Amino acid sequence: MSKKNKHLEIQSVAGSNEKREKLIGYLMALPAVVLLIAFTVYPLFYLFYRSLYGGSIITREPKFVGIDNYVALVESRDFGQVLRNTAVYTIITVGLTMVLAIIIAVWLNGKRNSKLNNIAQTFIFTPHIISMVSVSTLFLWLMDSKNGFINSVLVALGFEPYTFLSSPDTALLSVSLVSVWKGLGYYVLLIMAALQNIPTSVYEAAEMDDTPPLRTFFKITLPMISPTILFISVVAVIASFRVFDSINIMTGGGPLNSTNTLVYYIYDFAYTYGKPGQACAAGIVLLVFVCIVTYVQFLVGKKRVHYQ
Amino acid sequence: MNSNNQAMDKVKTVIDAILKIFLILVMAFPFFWMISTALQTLKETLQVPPTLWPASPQFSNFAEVFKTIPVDIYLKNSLIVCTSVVLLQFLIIVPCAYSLAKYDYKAKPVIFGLVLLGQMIPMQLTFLPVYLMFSKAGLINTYASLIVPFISNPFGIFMLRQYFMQVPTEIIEAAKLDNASDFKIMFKIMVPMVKSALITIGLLSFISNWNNYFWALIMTNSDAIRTLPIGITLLKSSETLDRWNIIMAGNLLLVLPMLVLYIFASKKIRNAFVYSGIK
Repeated sequence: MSKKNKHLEIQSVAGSNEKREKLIGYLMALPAVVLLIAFTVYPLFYLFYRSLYGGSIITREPKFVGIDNYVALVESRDFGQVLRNTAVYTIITVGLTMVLAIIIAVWLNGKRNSKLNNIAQTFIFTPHIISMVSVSTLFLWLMDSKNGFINSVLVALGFEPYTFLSSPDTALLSVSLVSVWKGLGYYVLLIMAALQNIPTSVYEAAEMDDTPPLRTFFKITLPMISPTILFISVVAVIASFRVFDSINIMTGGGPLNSTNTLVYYIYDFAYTYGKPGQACAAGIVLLVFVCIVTYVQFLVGKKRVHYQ
Repeated sequence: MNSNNQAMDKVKTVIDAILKIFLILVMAFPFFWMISTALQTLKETLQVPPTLWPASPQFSNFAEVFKTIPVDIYLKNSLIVCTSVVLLQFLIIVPCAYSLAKYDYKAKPVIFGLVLLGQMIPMQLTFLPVYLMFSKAGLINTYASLIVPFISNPFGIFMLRQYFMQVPTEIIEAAKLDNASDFKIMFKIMVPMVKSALITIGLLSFISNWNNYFWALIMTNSDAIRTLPIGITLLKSSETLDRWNIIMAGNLLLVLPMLVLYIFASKKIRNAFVYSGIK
């Protein structure tokens, strides 16, 4: 064999090797890709497609109705209230969770009573790994208007019993409070992780200057962790948009629609009223919200990387 | 002056401790209340003021739960679904993550984009199309409908890819010189190197599947397939008088495995959630 020929042969072996490598790469990714397309991409397209058709959940060949389902959404009084409820729930839950989580994280990150700090950290996180079913059922009992523990204490202390879930004025707030209780520890944990990334030298400088603690908090701590706070706030907003379990178990959207939120509305329209077209239209609305918020998250995330 | 300062500091420490104990109580009391109620008689649950701890703990409440709903079937279903998801997902996500980390091909950014999309789109958006798809295929009310949608765990792919990328490529090349096949390299050499990531992914997916209520609510309609979270809500609705002691006893059965897991691996679990939160 001539030298030239041998060189060619090696090249072609290398070429076929490269092809083989690519093929194996594709093959390894294939099962996951098929599943991701089946359970993420296809449903999104179908959601949009189905939102343009009428009929019930068992209709074999639904009729094309164009944007009628969207028009029906805009025209229904319920849907406006659903959007308002979702917004109010999100603002209360995320706002309260973030404020409390920042305060508690900074507090537990301090040097005082470090043993207690560890115990508090353990306990505050526990609800996060418990099913929302358990937490909702438990608070249904704690908030029971007649025999619930919270009202028993209030009455024993001479207060009026609180209405919690039985009044349209307080039900949404009550459901929010349950979410705050469940989720708080998770956000405390994330903020504490961010706090531990602040170099100690920054604090030592402040200590040398005798800066008062509150000033240290607002001038050093908060700015240093604000990118993380922004990032996880967005995560919390998306989680709030998705609220369903607690609503379904604790209130069923009531009383008087006061806790009917977006995902509950979608579920209700599809299964109780058997109108998947309108449910899918509402799903598209939720998708738009999720996309907007995720885009914000992306921007914030970029900034966060830059900041570090 | 100095001793004055010291006294001030002591007072501060005491107040700080009291507030922290209050915080711990707020977080722990509901759990205590669940356990206490689960052991009370029906009469005790209706008493005003409430009984903090039952006079004689009623362990028979748990037997009553088993009489009211088929807990053993729900428990079995929950275990089947959770273990299947945790184990089967590795067959799907390990090769995909390895391929994204160490192979070079054109469609890679598209596939990675798909993984990110999967992480972004919640099941609360996809459930209706998936329900209709499964219903056409006759898969509603089967284990498959509870397992298959979760085994392509996009977060798992994302995390594993990160870990695989940190493994030096020289190790793979050395193994290739020894004529090891690609799959052998992946399972025999790479997988042991990312064991901690696999444990994290397994833990997180076990917890989320054990607690998953929404998906099981959509996909199941008979006791033969229903999982424990659904069972607990059925226990609540089957009680016309609201026997809260029985409901809390059932609830405790759902909570206990997670609490035990948390007691034994609290640091590991918290680290896993921190990683998944600020990846």
